Amino acid sequence: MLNFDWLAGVPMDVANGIFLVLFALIGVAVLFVPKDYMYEGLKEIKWYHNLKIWAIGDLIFISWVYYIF
Amino acid sequence: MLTGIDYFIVIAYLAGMLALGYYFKKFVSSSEDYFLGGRSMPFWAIAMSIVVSDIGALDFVGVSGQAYRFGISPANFDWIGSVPAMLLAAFIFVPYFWKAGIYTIPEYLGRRYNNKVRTLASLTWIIFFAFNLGVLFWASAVFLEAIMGWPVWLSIILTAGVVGLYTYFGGITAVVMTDVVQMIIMFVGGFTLVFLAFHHVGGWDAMVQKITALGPEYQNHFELIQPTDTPTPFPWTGILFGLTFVMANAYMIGNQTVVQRCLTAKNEWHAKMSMIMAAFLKMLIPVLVLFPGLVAIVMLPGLDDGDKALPLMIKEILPPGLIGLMFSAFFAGLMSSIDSMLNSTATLWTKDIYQPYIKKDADDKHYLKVGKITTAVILLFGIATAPVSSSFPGIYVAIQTFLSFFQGPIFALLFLGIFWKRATQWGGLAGLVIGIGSSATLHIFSDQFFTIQDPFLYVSWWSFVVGFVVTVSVSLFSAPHDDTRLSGLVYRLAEKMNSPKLAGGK
Repeated sequence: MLNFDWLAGVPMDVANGIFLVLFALIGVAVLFVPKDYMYEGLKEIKWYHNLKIWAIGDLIFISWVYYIF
Repeated sequence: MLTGIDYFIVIAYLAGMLALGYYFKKFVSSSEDYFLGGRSMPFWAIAMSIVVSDIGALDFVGVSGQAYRFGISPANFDWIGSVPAMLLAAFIFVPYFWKAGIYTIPEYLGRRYNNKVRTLASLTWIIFFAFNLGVLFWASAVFLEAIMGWPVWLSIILTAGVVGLYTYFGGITAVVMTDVVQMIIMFVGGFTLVFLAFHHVGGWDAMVQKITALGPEYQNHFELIQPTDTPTPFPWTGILFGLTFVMANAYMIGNQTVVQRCLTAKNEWHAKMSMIMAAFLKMLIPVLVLFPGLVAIVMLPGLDDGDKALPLMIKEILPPGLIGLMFSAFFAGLMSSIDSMLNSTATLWTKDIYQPYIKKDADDKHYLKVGKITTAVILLFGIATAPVSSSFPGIYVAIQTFLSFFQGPIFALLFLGIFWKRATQWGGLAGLVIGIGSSATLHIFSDQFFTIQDPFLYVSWWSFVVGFVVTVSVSLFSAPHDDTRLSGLVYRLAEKMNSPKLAGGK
């Protein structure tokens, strides 16, 4: 059990899919973060201060890497 | 190996770092300036500093060597082993740490649980940093001697002199701002090597074709996700459970050198954004440190030791001048790691040990002085213990193993601390101590518990589970702190307390 033997039969495509699903779930969680929370600490707000944009950008990039490899 | 122009570049780099770091002396007039940069740093500087501090000179060689042996799977550490954890840190943990006004992660643990947890966590980090410094000095100097021909003591004295002076005088502001320049140099040097290396082998596609044609043992070299019975230490189950869920979070959320940088941010938005930008920069790191190892499989097949790949590649590919730039990148990696350890150790000692236990109510100038003295003492300790590590070849691994015992349990405490207000001080202490004990047991008897050769990913996962379960179990049988004490330390508790409905109003 400590070696995760029970997952040994999982095909590699499915394993790869688990990682992609994880990125998607994190992306959904990011989208649900309240809007005000994105801008806390700022006096003047511009569109590029929206942290969701940059976080989703990170996730798209890493998803693409795991999709390719 | 080095020509006159290379020496000029390396020496100009060292002199430039010294001058730049020393310049920031004028911004230090209080302990907050020294340890938290006066809470005035922009996100981009913090992000670059986080990334460059994470890569040492030896990582260039070590990761290239791993790529030579195992292919691209070690890149998991910079990709899935960083991005999800850094986003979790950005949106949940860092804002709470920043708003709480803490200096150290153990200080958070102390406020959330109790001072015993704080002291244990702090002493662990101090011991780790202090001993790791000597090992890092020695191993890097031996490496520089091998490839540059510089005497070991020259490298140690040069690095210690430059880093020591600017860290002593400039504190974390000097550390962060020199890291910015060091990251630029590291990226320019590293990308130049990668560009020329790919040019030599005819590009990415040609390299992949040549490597996969070498034989069946190279068929998985371009697979990030490795099967559970992989001969590498990176089975996908270990990457998912051990790395993604535990080690990455423990490092990005529980490591003083990483989090302390975010605490220097000028406001909460900059603190969050620093982690998000650092996550993007981290994704570029495998290109720098891993791709040269892959190219070496084509250019230098049959090496008995993968760690020789990068030095030989530099010798084969880079012209004079660029070799100097690459060695400056090595120094950048070494110096950024050392300055981080020095400043973080000084912070931990001053804030978690000296202030609560030795001299409680001194004025701020006194703690600033203590921080500076600690920086100098730790630096001298690192220099003095450097040669000792040559007598113990396994000491580097031993120190890393020592730290790895704490990763799982510390993350369990941080996770429960911020998400579960019912976690109690005694639950936290029991979870930490028993979790560490479980790590040590799993490590010592790893032959009996695990089937793969180096099960550190599995050990971190299971010790997290033990720490988590023990903390929850003991917490359920002990009294929690009241909400007032926990306000600002537990996720959304302050908002709930201020809400009229939840606070009992209309």
